[in-house]
Amino acid sequence: MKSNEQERMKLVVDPDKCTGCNSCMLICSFVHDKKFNYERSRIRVWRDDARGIFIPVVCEQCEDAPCIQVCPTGALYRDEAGRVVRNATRCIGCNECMNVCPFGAISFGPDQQWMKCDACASVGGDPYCAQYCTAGALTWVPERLIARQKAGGAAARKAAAATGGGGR
Amino acid sequence: MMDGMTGRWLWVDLSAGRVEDKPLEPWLIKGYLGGRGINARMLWDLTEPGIDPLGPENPLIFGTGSLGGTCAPNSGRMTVTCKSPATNLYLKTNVGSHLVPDLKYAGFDGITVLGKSDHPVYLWIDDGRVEIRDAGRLWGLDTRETDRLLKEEIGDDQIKTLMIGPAGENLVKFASVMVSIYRAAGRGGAGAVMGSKNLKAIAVRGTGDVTIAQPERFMEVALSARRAIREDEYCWTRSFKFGTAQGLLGANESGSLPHNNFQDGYTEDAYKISGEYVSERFAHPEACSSCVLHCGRFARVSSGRYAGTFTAGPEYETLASLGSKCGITDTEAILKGNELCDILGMDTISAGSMVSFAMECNQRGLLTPEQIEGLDLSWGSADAMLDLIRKMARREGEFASLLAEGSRIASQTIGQGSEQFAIQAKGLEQSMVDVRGTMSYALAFALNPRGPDHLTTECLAEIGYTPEVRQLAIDVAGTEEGVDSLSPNGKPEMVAWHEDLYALTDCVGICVFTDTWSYTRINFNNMAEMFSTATGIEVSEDEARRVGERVMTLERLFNLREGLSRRELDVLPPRMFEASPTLANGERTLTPEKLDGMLEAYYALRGWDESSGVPTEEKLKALELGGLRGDDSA
Repeated sequence: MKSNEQERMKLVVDPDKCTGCNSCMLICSFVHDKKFNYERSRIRVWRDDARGIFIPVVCEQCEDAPCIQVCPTGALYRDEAGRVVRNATRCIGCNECMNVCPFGAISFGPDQQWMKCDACASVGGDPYCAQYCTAGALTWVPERLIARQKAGGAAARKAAAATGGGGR
Repeated sequence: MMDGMTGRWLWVDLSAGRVEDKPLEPWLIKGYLGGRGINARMLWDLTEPGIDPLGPENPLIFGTGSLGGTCAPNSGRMTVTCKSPATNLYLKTNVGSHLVPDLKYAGFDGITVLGKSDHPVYLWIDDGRVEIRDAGRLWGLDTRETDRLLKEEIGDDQIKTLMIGPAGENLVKFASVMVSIYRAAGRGGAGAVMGSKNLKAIAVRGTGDVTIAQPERFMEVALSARRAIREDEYCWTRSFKFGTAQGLLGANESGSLPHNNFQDGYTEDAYKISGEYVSERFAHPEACSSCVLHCGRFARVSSGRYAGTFTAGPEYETLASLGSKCGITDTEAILKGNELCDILGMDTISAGSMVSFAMECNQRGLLTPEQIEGLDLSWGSADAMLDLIRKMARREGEFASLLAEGSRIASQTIGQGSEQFAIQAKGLEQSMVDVRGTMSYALAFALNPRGPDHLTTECLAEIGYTPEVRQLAIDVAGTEEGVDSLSPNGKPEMVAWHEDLYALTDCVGICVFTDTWSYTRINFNNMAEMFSTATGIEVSEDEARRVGERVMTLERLFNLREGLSRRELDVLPPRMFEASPTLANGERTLTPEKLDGMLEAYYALRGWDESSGVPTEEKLKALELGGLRGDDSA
């Protein structure tokens, strides 16, 4: 990477760290729509109380993005920072992107608005969910360091398990 | 529709089988700011003194905080209010979880349940559509099964639920209302009140908006409060890592971890019930809505005799109550006990207290083997603890059924001096704080309108655990003795300040642990600002504190209206006046005279009559409670 090039960043989800506080959903809804409503959140935390599992689901900005491929009008495209974004004037609201997304990360909100995580590009700044994720389940990481961070976390858990610790 | 709050309240009359959506009156919002305050005023207005807590005339009120469903830090709290079947007095019991945002998104700030259904029912709130549904097939089931079947019946596993277990159905005096399968509105028997109404559960799904009057300003205040808590290393790190049991070992070292029913305050092997041990071996953090602290735990036992057990928690209170207070340090058995209390729907504090009370009765030879059906009630018997929990919830056998009445009635029935070591006052079992070592706590526990525990105020500042907190305590107390925990001086000031702060916090629906774990980060000022910018109703810092005092005073009035005097209301369990061998070198630290002195100074500070403890008419007028005065013959 050239030093003067903008570094590509990615929102990384570590469900093992998620505590299910839903702060990400509350903040996401508010920074984008100025209202609080989980249905306005671009990130969704799926809860399984009986197993103590909480899984944040959000656009992964896929490299080979099915939503871009399936879009009949070319409204969806990848921007310079690597995010999958939409040209609203081209969009015909056909729902194909929503149907094809394997994560359910695209939806139509309460005002019938097309919604998908844009890593807070539209509201300026780094993703608010990651900034306010107390537990560190959501982080905003340079792409080149993602594997390093993940491997480090996995190794730490193994080490803890080997010494008898570790809740999960 | 208003901003911040929904301005709507759901009224459910189970006798008539009718639901009604009504606006909240503006004076109620402005005067009480939500949650605990609005609930308290509703309870006052809806009831006459002397009503039967388990009769249809006792309303059961669920109130979200005014900041619930927003990103205000730790704003996932709800207050449940009714007359308590344990104390026959005022009860508020506060609970976290994730139900609050859904209820507000469904369009309601709260729910008042009146009357009694003639058959088991549950309430299904799907946005504005509300139905009273048959709960025949849920009745008798534990809370976990109920939660599962509700989700199955409604066909959505992400709905939010609250429910009672068998303990609530069987009118156990310390039955809890479980909110999700994790959290309990545990104290004072609200679950029995719900059971008396034949109301098994409430399920909620909300998909509407909560709007904000001044979005930019609100965002700024709320996010900066979140950052302040997160950056408070002392508070955040310990709470996140070890949960509420973070201080258990410290309490043990200082000789104030309840042991063998408060006979002393030191447990050998306390490490096995510490937050450190539990968090490292069994648990990971779990959080209520919008939480920054994450003190909640989700614990699982994967091997051994109790393999397969899982439970939210254990909290400090549970580890001490089912653990050290019963002489038990078998962590896995305590986790099992915690699970049983949650699925059967019982308060872990009172349940453990009943077990340790029974164990001390046994120690003193007050029980016959026939009476206890051969149960081994020696200290440390985990089997007895688990067995009694199961039996109390289902009222199996005469002895367990007596214990299910709570320690006041149980000790009066057993007699033989057992009243002296029933660790209860006003009918509520004391939480796991040995107030003999901390005079603020002693005063606060005596004054708490629902009975002796730490959730009307917790004066942690007294311990002065950081230089900043120490200074705060000295400033609030107005004397250096504010941080001398055995001195009575400065304690009335400390208690009044903390009570007002806690009351305001419960009104806006923030978690009170933020108040005292991260002192000054959440305060009268930023709570007032968050309320004002969210709702557009301007409330100053001073006014916000006055609301706190108004709520405390109204709760006092409720109890006075029941005809009780200060001698019946401002009391502690008898054992608190005995010396503890592990505190103050075995010297007596608290006497009735010392407590009286603090109480009288507190009454004066509050503008109450110094000898009777009744708020003066002048004070009531100043708090805009004029004309509400209860029994002033006291």
